[in-house]
Amino acid sequence: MHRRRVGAGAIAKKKLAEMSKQLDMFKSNLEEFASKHKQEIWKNPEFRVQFQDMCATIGVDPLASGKGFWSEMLGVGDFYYELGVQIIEVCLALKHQNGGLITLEELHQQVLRGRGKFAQDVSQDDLIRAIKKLKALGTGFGIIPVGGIYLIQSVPAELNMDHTVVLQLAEKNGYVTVSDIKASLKWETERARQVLEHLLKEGLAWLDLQAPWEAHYWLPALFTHLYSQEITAEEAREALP
Amino acid sequence: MDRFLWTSGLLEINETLVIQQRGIKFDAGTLLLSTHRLIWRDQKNHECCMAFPLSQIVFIEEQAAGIGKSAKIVVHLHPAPPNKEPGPFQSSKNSYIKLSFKEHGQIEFYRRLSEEMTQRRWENMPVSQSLQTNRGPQPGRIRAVGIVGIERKLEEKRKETDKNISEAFEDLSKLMIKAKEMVELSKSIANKIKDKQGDITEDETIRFKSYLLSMGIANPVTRETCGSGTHYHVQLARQLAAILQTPLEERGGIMSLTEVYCLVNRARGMELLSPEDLVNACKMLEALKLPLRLRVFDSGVMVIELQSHKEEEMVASALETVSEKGSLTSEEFAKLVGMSVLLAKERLLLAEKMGHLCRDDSVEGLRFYPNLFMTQS
Repeated sequence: MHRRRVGAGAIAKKKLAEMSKQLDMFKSNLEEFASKHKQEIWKNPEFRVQFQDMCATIGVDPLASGKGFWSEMLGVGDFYYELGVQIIEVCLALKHQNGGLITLEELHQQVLRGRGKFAQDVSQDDLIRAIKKLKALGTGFGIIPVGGIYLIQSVPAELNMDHTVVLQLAEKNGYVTVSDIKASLKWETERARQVLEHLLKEGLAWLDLQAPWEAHYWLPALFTHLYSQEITAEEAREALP
Repeated sequence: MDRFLWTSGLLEINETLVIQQRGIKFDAGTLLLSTHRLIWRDQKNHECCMAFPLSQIVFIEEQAAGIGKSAKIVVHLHPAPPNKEPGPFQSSKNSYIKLSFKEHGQIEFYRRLSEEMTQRRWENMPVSQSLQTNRGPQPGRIRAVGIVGIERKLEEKRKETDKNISEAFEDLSKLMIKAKEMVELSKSIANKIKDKQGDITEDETIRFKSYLLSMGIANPVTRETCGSGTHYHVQLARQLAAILQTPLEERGGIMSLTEVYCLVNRARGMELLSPEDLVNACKMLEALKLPLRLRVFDSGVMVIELQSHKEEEMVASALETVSEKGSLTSEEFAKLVGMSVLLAKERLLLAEKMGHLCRDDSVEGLRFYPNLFMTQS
């Protein structure tokens, strides 16, 4: 009995030593890789996607820590963590307008604008990965697929399935009415009203009582998606607290 | 020699370089023979470039080298056409030029030039009559050649990039295989540790966690991507305590974790923290007895507060503020007090939880009132 226990512990110690050795070797392999190919990762969004997918397949998260090898040698970390900061700032600047809900497309445009023309190119996939990491900060960052597009939520508003489904309905025209909901989703009036009121309360929807026939509930998050409106850099700057 | 005309030295479409030879006299230049022209370029000043069309050549002859003399090719030319573009000389009494080969190559050049004269390829592949000049260029023509040149460069670059990328992928795949082995190894170690807790020292467990951190492997036991308990995070926690002291005081003793993330990373500039790094370091603040702590509100919002900060006391002052105004929304309160809306909301919610405020939830928003049920019952 006693011998078996010691044996198991010793095996673990031995494996730990082996891992340490392999780690050193891996580190130098990674260094070599970085010296040859670091530029590719920096320049090429396609390569970044492939790289991330490969890591995910084997169960490795290159963005988990700034102290990880991947981050230190390849610089992938700095790229995504800085992107995270830029995403937070854009969302904060526009929150008063859209209540904390923004299309991925608009977020992409605003982030690119903020980065300036000499900065590294950034793809929508890059943004999604950065946002997924931001969730760890507990601030309600979420990604909501709505029809063919993605909505990015940056405030801890409670959005359940009902809300999401109504957002999807609104995507076509930028607004939705109680009748629309009843016709498409076959809900009761009360259920539709509750969802719409919640969106209003959270500042995600605007009430338009002057629309013909019945009240329209507009979603400012979808405005640029529909009308390719752009707020100028000046306006964005003014919007910052 | 008036047969020459200035040229920008770009090859025309359909024109290909046949041979080039350095060391040609006209004060040391490079002679280029193309299918259409004979081009001379100054070796020192590449901008200085002259050419004449091969069609101008009547015949050529060789002149052997002698003592102190280099080999030459004499090129006899037709008279200059009246509509010739500007060149180095406006008129000349000679109807031939001598190409002096200072660095040899005359034999080969002569051969090639003769070939071109025989084949007369310029007749089959017409190129626009007006050659390029580097004075007063015709926009349309130059752009076409320029674009071809640019496209060529882009194509080369694309091929180069493709080659680099496929090489990069190959190397990456090899790396990933090694990384996968490490993942497997770490799983088996984790199992051993789990089973025989007592035989692994505290120190070894910490070492193991730091290995996982380096590789980005999730801790197979706890499922977190290795956070608390590594030296790195302890160090980080101490750094944060130092960095955040003043900003916190400036902001009333409390900041959301998002604000902290932006502040710290903006200050660092490089070697940024991942969101997980930050959270994991903050989780250790209290245990390390540092003057800050991490707090998680019911809503899931995470904040850092000074130990000296008593949110509950702030609630009392919040109640006063709300009472003065009758009622307030989070936005209004935030503006009055000078806080972020997010934290303002949390404070009001806390006040409500403690029974000091009650809410009026309508489509116009969430409004807080002093809880008169409590105070006036």
